[in-house]
Amino acid sequence: MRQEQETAKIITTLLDRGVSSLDEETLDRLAAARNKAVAAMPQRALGAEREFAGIGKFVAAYFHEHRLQASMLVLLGMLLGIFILLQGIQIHEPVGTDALLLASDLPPEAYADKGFDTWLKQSSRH
Amino acid sequence: MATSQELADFLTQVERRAFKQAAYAVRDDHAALDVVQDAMLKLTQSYGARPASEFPMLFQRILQNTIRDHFRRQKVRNLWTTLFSSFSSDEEDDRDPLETLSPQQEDTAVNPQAQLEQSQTLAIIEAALRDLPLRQREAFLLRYWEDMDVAETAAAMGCSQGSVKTHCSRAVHALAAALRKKGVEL
Repeated sequence: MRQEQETAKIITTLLDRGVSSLDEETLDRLAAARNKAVAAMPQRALGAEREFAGIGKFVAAYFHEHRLQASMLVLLGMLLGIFILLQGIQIHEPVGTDALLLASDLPPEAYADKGFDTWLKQSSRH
Repeated sequence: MATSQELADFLTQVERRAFKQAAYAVRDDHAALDVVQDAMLKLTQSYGARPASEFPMLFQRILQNTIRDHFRRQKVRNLWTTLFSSFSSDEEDDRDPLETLSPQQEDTAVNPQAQLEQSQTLAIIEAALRDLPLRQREAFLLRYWEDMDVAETAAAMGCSQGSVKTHCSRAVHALAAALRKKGVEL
């Protein structure tokens, strides 16, 4: 493995020397290609570049750089909000159920008795 | 978000090696320049708004895909050429296919610097690199020349890290063997 890496290093060093001796025509064509590519940079990106050039450049660039983390933070906040909301509903739900049971004409045991529901249906048919 | 200056700096930094990578693959300098130009344009048009730190990985991936696109187009062109040549005369059939490769290989020989030992070694390496299978050459150049780690190389090539290690190992052994065969000891 080490031998392999050493061999690779020697080879890439030689390749680097080959790269530094490229002919002028090739270098000119590469420079032209580069300039064409830079000129083709989307206007949106260039517009944002100018926009960021003001006082808020650093802040905007920071949030753009860390947009993944910012998105995750917003998502986490939303999930937390939903969790708190659900907790609130679950807390209030038993109170409503308890009030219904107490106000009902039937005793609470009747709701737990599965046979009662069947009996009620049968008796209502007669 | 990258500025146009950052983009220009990045391209200046990688363009020569990108050209060489493409040239080893497509074996034609003009086609290699076209490949590099396409890759540069794709990077700026599609990913120009990305942070500059993402450029190396994106560019390598685009470059490898553009090289593959070149081969696909060439394959289609060759198919049509074969179809049409079957209607033409048989005179060309007598031609040795190796003749088409010879001018490429003689490029280094007509260069005056080819007299130097180092240049000769470089020529041998470049020829051996051209002869490597596509995936082995990609893995070797990305991992060792572009100095990417195994994970980055795997991501750029769209394969597993194990495959990268295998390709790299085979490539180094093949290059070393090619050099030994020519009497060059590393």
